[in-house]
Amino acid sequence: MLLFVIGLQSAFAEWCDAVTVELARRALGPTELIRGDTLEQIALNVIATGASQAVVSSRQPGGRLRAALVEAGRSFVVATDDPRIACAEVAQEQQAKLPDAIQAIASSCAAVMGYLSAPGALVISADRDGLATAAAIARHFELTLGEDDIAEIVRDLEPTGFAAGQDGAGHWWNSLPAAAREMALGAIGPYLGDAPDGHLLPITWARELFFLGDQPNQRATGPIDITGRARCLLCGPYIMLPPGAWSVSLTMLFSREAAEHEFLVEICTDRSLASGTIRPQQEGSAAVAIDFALGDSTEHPINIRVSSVRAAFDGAIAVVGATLVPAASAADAPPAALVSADE
Amino acid sequence: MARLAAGAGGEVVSRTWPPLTDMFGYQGISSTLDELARVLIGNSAKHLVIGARQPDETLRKALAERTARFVVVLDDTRNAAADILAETGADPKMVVRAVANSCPLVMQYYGLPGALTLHADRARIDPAAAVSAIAAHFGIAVEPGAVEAIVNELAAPGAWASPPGAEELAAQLPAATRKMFDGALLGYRDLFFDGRLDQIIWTRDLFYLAVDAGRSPNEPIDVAGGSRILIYGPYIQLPRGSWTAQIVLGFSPEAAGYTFVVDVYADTQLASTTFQPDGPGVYNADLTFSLGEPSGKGVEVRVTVASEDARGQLAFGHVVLRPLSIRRAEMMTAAGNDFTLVLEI
Repeated sequence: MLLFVIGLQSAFAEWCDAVTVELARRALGPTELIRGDTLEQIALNVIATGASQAVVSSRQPGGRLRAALVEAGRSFVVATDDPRIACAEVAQEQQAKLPDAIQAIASSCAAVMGYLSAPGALVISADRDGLATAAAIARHFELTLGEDDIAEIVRDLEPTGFAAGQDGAGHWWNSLPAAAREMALGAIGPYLGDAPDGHLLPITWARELFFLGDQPNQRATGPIDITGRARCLLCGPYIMLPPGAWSVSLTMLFSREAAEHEFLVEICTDRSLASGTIRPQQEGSAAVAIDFALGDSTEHPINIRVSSVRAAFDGAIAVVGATLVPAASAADAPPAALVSADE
Repeated sequence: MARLAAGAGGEVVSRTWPPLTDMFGYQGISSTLDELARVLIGNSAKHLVIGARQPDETLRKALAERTARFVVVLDDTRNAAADILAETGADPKMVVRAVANSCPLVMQYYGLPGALTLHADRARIDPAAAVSAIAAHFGIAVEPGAVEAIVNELAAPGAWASPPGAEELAAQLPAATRKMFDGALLGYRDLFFDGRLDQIIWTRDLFYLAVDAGRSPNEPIDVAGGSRILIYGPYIQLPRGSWTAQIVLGFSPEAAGYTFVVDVYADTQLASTTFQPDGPGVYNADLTFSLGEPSGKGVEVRVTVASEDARGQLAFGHVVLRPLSIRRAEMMTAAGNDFTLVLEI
């Protein structure tokens, strides 16, 4: 038997993983904890562990996994949290650089959103009492345990619990420079559910979230030299989006020499979704707007690729940022927020 | 396997993937690992037995990396086709495709460290030994008499242990269908039992007419009517490696001097040749190509008339596929010394 804990990448979700494993061990017997965001990853980890019973921990779960859970009528837990707290935890505890933390949390937000309103979901948040949360998880998975057992599990896990870190995370967030906070809020802020009509606000992916096309491990924080053969100059930010129709507006800066060139812009996941062309004509900024759609089964992050289409002797470009807006058809039904309205 | 697992205690779920209906089709089939996960999500059984008929590369890597234990079952490929034909009564072309698409995938598994390879001919002679071997391979302790009970249960009328049906089937099939079965499948039987794959022949019955995909190019085709694809198919996987394909075509006197294209395609064009028959007769178009891991819809051979004003008739014979072996040069010649220098070998 597999028990699923879907959750925003946070200490609270990990606490839920640990609680669910202990509940299952006491109620059902030996239980492994495995990670898996896709059907393939889950199968591979089951083969690797040989486990016939496991708790599957998913932090960026794909659409095909959701479809499989719903089709099978399975119950699962969705652990939500404030994305700002989650971002702080990743940056602090995993010592991740801020763009890496934003990339992870923004993807996690987009992926988890689709599970909030799915049949079989028990949505729990970090602001609830730990004992009540553990008892709710046990009931949801129909794990028959006494109150004493549940209390003992919660007590045993308390030292590594999530509550203590939340204050520190809040302090870390408040101490961020304004520009860094703006970058983080551009990518994860829309998932806070602050929009008055409940629809997703525009998402902004700042320059620091992109990578150099030639060196995909290096962030594109400065000008990119276009000299040389036609090639991919810019890629990223490898962040997941909720399924639906989207419009992306990519703004870039071009030097005088680069303005004479044409640049191909592709929106990709595991395949190309849409493309457009930027012809800057003059030095300065230029933008391109491209519409694309993500199916319900999506499980890959978005990669915006910018490529030169012919060799260049000189010139430089820089990305300003990308703004993504849900197309009207996708925004008809407001999505559930990851943070409850009273927060 | 399922019965042995049941003997170990707990519920057992068995699933064969992909189902035959999917194997007959031309659409993409989701991977064995995805299906494994779906089955795990969909039930609470303690044991899961997956019969993988088109096991892919990702599964192979996972099993190899973890030295996971599994069973590879090899049979005369024509027996497999006979079983499917008897079970489904499907179009023989679909049956051949289903079996031929399994072979290149299955053959990648029997050399892996965790594999227990069972040959159906030996298992038919001594089924108890086969059951015992499976139990031992998976470390399943069996009670005295359990193996015999499983063998007796599975030897019921209609079960697999009935005599092989290939010879019987061959006698009942039309000659052209028999040639199609033998051409596409005998090479794999030789590979599974003798360790060598000499050639595979795709007869015309496996191909499609572009003007009517429901028909095979069994009659001469009028090439007049402008540049277009005339024949395509059969969308069958081949083992990875380099291959030569000999496409046999016949041309009427009127078709002489016009241009024809033959190409091999698998997700992308792999090889192509253009030629003009200089008179009536039978011609061989020889192509060489290389394939990676089996993927997509399989290999397609296409015959195209390129001349807009072509006239006459074309007859499609068959395609002979042979693995292309590349041997290491044993004698170091003067030219070999040059290689040594530039490649630093």
